[in-house]
Amino acid sequence: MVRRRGWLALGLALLLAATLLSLAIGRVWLDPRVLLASAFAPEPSLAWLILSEVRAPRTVLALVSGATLGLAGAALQGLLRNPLAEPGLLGVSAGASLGAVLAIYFGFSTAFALATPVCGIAGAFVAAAITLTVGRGGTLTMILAGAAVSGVMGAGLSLALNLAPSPYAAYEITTWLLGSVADRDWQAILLAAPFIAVGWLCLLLTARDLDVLTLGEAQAESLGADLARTRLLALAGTAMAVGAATAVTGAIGFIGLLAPHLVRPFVGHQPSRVLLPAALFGAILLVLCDVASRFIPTALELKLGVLTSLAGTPFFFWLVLRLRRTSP
Amino acid sequence: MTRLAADRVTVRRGGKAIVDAVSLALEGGQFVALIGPNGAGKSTLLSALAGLLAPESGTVSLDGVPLARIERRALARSRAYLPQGPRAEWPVSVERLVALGLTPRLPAFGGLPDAMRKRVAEVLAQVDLAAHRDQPVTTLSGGELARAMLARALVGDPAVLLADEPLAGLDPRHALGSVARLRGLADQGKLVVAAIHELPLAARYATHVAALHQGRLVAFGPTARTLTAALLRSVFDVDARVAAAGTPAATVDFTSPVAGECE
Repeated sequence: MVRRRGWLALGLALLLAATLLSLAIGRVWLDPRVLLASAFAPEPSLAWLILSEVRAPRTVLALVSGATLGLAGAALQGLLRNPLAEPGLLGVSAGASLGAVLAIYFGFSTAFALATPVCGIAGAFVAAAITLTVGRGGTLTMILAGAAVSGVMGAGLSLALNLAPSPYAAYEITTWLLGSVADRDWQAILLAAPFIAVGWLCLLLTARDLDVLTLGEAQAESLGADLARTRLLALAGTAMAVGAATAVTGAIGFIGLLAPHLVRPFVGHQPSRVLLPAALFGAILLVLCDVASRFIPTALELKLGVLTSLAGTPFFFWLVLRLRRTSP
Repeated sequence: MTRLAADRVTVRRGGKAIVDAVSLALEGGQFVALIGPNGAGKSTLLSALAGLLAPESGTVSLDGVPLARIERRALARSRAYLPQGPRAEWPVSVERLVALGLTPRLPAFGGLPDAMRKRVAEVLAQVDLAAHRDQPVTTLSGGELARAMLARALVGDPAVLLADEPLAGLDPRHALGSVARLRGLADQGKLVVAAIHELPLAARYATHVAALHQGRLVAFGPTARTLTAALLRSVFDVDARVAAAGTPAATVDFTSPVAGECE
């Protein structure tokens, strides 16, 4: 118990440190004294504007989407009892991407700033609805339906790129697809927030059933778990939370896969206890990756999605090596 | 007294009747050995009796109430079900795995109350796994895992236990221990139904025997009267000598696989 509290304290300290770093680091150095003075001044200073309109939304978005990806990954890995499950598996991320890309493609996003996230959320719901209708009735059918939906949505994305009306549109679509939390405004975040909150609630409600699923589906049902309800909660929760987050940030890989694995050994592998720590470490990882993307000296700023994939792949190899060691 | 009754239960899969119009009336105090060759429908019948599988036709009722009308968690508190060859999906500790059996009794939030923790320790000691309490279940041997799963089923103190081949993979000492424990539960007034292939153990410990053949219930009754050489011959196609069935001295010897070839 004491050890567990120690890990929790360490996690929270890391979270705080990452948040402060994310607020402090950028193109310009913001003097804390100037900030403090302008917090109470009637006219906001430039430093204060940079903090409140550029860095704060960026940090909050990284925290929220990191936590969402970690939580959804943990819930799906518990539900499917598969260490390779991740939020993108059910087609939700691809659906959100396609929705947002269509908004860019048809030029809605230039006419109306929130068009991209709105269409992204709509796309996530369409994808989740198809996965749920086609894959109803079992875990395996749901995974297969999710793969099919991902495939269709991916084909749609390629089509949009293929038929892009101008090189500029194609460039804009690709850039969006790479995933980033930079230059998002508060409006987009506030639009996504209610969906994310309801999604979190749905995912957390699966906790107890995820625990009994440790015994397999037959014993879980015999212990009173309603697996149809659990599957629905996990899918709807992922659709809402990950769909809404992806609609704002673009696709960000590996956090949802990685975070649950990082915390699992420290909570005794119990699926319900993985949920919140996975959200915590998802948030830490994404904020740190975002900070790193500002640090790394490249001509164009590195996109967050690229960095998480680059950093996530070695982890994947480690997972394979560990499986090879532990499995007979 | 707990009563579990199946009334003309039929389960079909792919047009074939896996369980065919089985009617059974069981009650607390019985340890029923469900016997039959592979593919006779034992597992399917147990799933239907547990309420995990809705039969095509017929009903299963617990104390006169159809299972479909009993709330999931209420049903989970009164009957435990142990499938064949259960596996653990995550390397949780043995103690944690067994505690999962208490899930239907847990308060809506929070961890395991102290009284329940004590109950887990007690059951672990009964199945001889106290020393393995903190070990990850994925590192247990097959027989140890089977005992841990039995402990998981028993920890909630259910009135009805339905177990699918709980003795498979156990060494002789632990098979004897487990089957004696099942009989002990029946002696306490609980109903135990277990699919068992170990016929000598069934002959010694089961109070009743139910025999399935091609989905049909071909015999049901007290072990002494039901478990006979004639039954084994018609159900399993083997010649056997059965002596003192239903007593601790019972023996079942198989003499030949095909009628009349040996001796």
